[in-house]
Amino acid sequence: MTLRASCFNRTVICKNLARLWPALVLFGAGMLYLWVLIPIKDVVGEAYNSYYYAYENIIYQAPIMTVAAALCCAGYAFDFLHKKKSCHYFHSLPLNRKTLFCSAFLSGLLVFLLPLLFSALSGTLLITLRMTRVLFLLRLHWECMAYILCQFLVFYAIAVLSMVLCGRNLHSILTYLCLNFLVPVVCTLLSALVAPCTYGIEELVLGDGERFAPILVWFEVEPFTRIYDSCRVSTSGVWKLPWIYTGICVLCGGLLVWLSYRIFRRAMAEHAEQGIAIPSFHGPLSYFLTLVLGCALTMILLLTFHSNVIDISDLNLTVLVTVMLLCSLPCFFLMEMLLKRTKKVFTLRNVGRFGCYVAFILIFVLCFSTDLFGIVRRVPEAEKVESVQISFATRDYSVEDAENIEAIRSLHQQFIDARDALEEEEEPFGALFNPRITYTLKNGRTVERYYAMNLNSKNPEVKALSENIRAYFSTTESNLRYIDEMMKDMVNVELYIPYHFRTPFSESSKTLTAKQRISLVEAMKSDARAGNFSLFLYSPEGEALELRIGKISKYDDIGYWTHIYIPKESSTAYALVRGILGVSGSLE
Amino acid sequence: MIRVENLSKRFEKVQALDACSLHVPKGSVYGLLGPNGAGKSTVIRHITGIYQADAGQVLIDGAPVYDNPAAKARFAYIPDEIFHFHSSNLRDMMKFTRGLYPGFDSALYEELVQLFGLDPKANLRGFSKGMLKQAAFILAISSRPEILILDEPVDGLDPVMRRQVWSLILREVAQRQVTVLVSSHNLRELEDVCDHVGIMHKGKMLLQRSLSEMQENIVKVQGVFPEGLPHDLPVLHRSNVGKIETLILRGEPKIIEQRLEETKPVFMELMPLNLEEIFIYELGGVNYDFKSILL
Repeated sequence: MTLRASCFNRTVICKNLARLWPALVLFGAGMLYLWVLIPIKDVVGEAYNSYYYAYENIIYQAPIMTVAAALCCAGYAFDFLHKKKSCHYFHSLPLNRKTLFCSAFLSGLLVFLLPLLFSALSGTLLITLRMTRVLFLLRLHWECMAYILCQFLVFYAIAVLSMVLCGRNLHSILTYLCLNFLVPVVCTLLSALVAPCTYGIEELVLGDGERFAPILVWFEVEPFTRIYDSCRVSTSGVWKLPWIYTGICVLCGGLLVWLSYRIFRRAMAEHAEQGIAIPSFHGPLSYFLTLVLGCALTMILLLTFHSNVIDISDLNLTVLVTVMLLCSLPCFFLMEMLLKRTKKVFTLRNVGRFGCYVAFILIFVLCFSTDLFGIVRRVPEAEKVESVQISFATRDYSVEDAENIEAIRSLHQQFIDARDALEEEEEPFGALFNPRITYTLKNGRTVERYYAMNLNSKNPEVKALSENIRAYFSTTESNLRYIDEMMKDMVNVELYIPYHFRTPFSESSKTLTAKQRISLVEAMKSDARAGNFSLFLYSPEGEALELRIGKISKYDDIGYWTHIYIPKESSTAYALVRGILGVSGSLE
Repeated sequence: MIRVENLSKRFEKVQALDACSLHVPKGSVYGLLGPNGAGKSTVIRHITGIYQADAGQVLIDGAPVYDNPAAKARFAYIPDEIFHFHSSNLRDMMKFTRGLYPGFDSALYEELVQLFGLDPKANLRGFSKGMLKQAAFILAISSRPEILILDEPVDGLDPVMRRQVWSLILREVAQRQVTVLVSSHNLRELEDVCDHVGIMHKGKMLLQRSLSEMQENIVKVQGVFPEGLPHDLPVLHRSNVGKIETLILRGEPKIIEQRLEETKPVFMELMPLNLEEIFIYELGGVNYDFKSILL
C-alpha cells in the first residue's frame, strides 16, 4: 500500500527490513550483550563501580561499533544505487524520489534503532529490578543510549552521503572511511604541522595534553567523542545530560541528510552510468582524498621508520612536510585515476593542480610555523580582562582584582618566554604539571592557555618559573582562598596514613569525624595566617600526607579529590594530624 | 498517449540523446528500432522516469513522468536485465509488486504462473535469463498497467515462449487497449506485432511512422532499364546482377512505378520490403554499417 500523504512507503520499508534481517540479528546480539548482559552482571555481582566503568567503556568504544553499523545499514539500504539493474528498477517504480529516499533512509535507521531500543528497554527492566541506585543507573543507561544513537545518526548520515555521492561501492566506502577514520589522522598530522603554533593552546592540540600522539588521537579524539566530551559538563564528577551534544549531532546529521537528499533528487539514477553523482565534484573530492591518503601514508611511514610514533615532536618540520607532500603525489594521481576511471591523468593540468595543493599546504604550514597571527605570544591586556581563572595542581580559583590579574599575566608572560626551556624539560611521566590560565575578557570572550611544566626541572629558567609560581601560590591570601575552595561542600575527609606508620593490621586511611574536620580546617587557616602553611604542590622530597576530600554530587554520589599535604613540624595542623593518627614522633 | 519532445541527455562526454522526439498513440504497439548505442534504452529510461532529461520533456497523457508516481503507476516496465531481490522468489516479488500497484490482479498472477509453469517458491537466483523474463512478464501484466514498456522483451526466450509472450501482450492490447512500447533488434518479430515504428540513430529519431505508412513509402524494384534511370529518382540502394537491377526507392509505389514506366523498362517488378530491409536501407542512407547487425 502506498501512503500517499507520507514520505514513506510501507512496502519498501517492510521489504528492506525483511531483507536486512542479518544486520538486525547481528546488531541485536551485539547490543543485547552491551545493554543487557552487562547490567545482568552488575545485578548479580552488585558491582556498582564496574557498572559505571562499563558505561564509560561503552562511550569510548561506541564509535567503533557505530561506524561499522552505520556503514552496514547505509550500505544495505542504499546499495540499490550502485547496481544498474536495481537502480533502474527502483526508479521506475511508482514512487517519487522523496519517498524512495526517505523509505530507504528510515529502513536503514530502523535496523539499528530497533535492536537498540529493545536492548535498552531490557536493560531498563534489569536496572529497575536491581532496586538500588535505580535513578542514577537509569539516567546513566539512557544517557549512554542517547549518546550512541546520536553518534549513529551522524555516522549514518555520513554513510548515506557517501553512498549517494558516489556511484561505486569502492568510492563510497573510501569516502566514508576518509570522512570517519582518516579525518582524525589528517587532523593529527596537521596538528604536527601547526605544532609551532599549538604551544599553550589546547583547542589546537589533539589529545589530552599530548600534542603529538597520532595513535592515541586516532582512537581517543574521534571527532564526535570529542564533541561529546566538550559538551559534557563535569561538575563534581557528575555527568549532565548532553543536550548540546544531542543538538549538534541532530543538526549535523540533519544537514548531511538534507544534502544527501538534494543529491539523490538531482542525479541518482545516472550513477550507474557516470560513477559519481555530480561530476563537478570530482575536483574537491580528489583534493580531499589526496590530503587524507597522503596523511595516512605519511603516518604509515612514520609507524614503520620512526621508532616512537607517539612522540613525533622531535621530527624536523621540513622533513615532515616533505614526506607528506611526497606521499601525496602518488595519492593525487591515484585518486584521479580512480575517480575519472582513466589512466591518462599525467597531464600538465593535473601537475598544475597538484602544484596548487602543494602551495596550499606550504602556505598553511608557513602561517602557523611563524605564528603569523600572534596566537601563541598573546597575553591579553590587563584593562581588557574581566577576571582570570587559574588552575594549577589542586588549586583552581578566579581572581578579579587588578593586582592578581597583573600577577597572573606576569606568570603567563614567563611561560611564553620560557617556552623553549619548558618544551625541552617536558617529561611524559613524573612531576609534569599542567597549569591552565583562562581569561574572561570584558567583551565576553575567553582566552584559554594550557602549559606543561616539570617542577623538578634542573633548567634554571624553568626552576625560576617554578619558584615564581610557588611564591605566588604561597601568599596568605592565596592559601586562605585555597583552603576555602578545598573545603567547600565537604562531607567527608579521609587522611591517608604514611606507610611507615602502618602496622600490617592497620587501615591505610582514617576518616575524620565532623569535629576533627572542623578542627583541621581551622588549624590550616590559622597556619596560613601565621605563614606556616604548606598544603601545596607535589614535591618528591619528604613524606607527604594525602587528604581525600569527599563532596556530595547530584546523583547522591560522593566524589573524592585528593590534596597533598606536606606538614611543617611547627604548624598547628601538623600537631592536630599527629594527634588524630596517634603518632607521637615526627610524621616523616 | 506517450509524447517525447526534443529530449536531450548527455553523459559526461557522450551525447546520448539529441533532440529526440516520438509519439506513441493510445492502444498502439510501437516498435523502437536502432543499432547499439542509438539511444533506445536511454529514451525508454526517460519515459519510465529513471533519468531526468537535460532538455525536452516526456509526457504521458500530458503529465510529466519524472518524479510523478501517478504517471508512473500507469505503466509497467520490463528492462533488458531483470532485477530481483537477493534470495527472493517469485512470490516475494509478487508481494512487493502488489504493494506498489493498487490494481494488481492476484487471480491473473496465479493464472499466468500456471501458464508459464514457473515455481513461485523457487529462488529466482536459480532462474535462467528466459525464466526471469517470464517472471517479469507475469508481474508486469498482473499489475494491470495501461502501458507496457519493454526493452528487448523476448531476448533469451525460446521460440515457443516468444510466441506465447507475444500472444499474451497482444491479448492485453486487444482486450484492454494496452499501449505497448517495445525496443528490439529483432526486426522480424516487430514486423509481426508492431503497428508503429520509430528508427533511432546516434541519439536522434531518424523516422517514425505507422508500419503500413512506412511500407507504403519505400519500394523495392527489380527490372532491366536499358535507357537508365531518371536522375532525380530517390534511390536508397542500387545493385545489379547482370542487366537486372535491384533498386530500393523512397516514395509512393504508384508514383515510382509511373516514373520508371516512362524509362520503358524491358522488365520491371515491384516487390514489398520487410521491416528488416527498411531498417537496413534507412540506416544505410546515414552511413551506418548495417551489416554488423543483420539478424
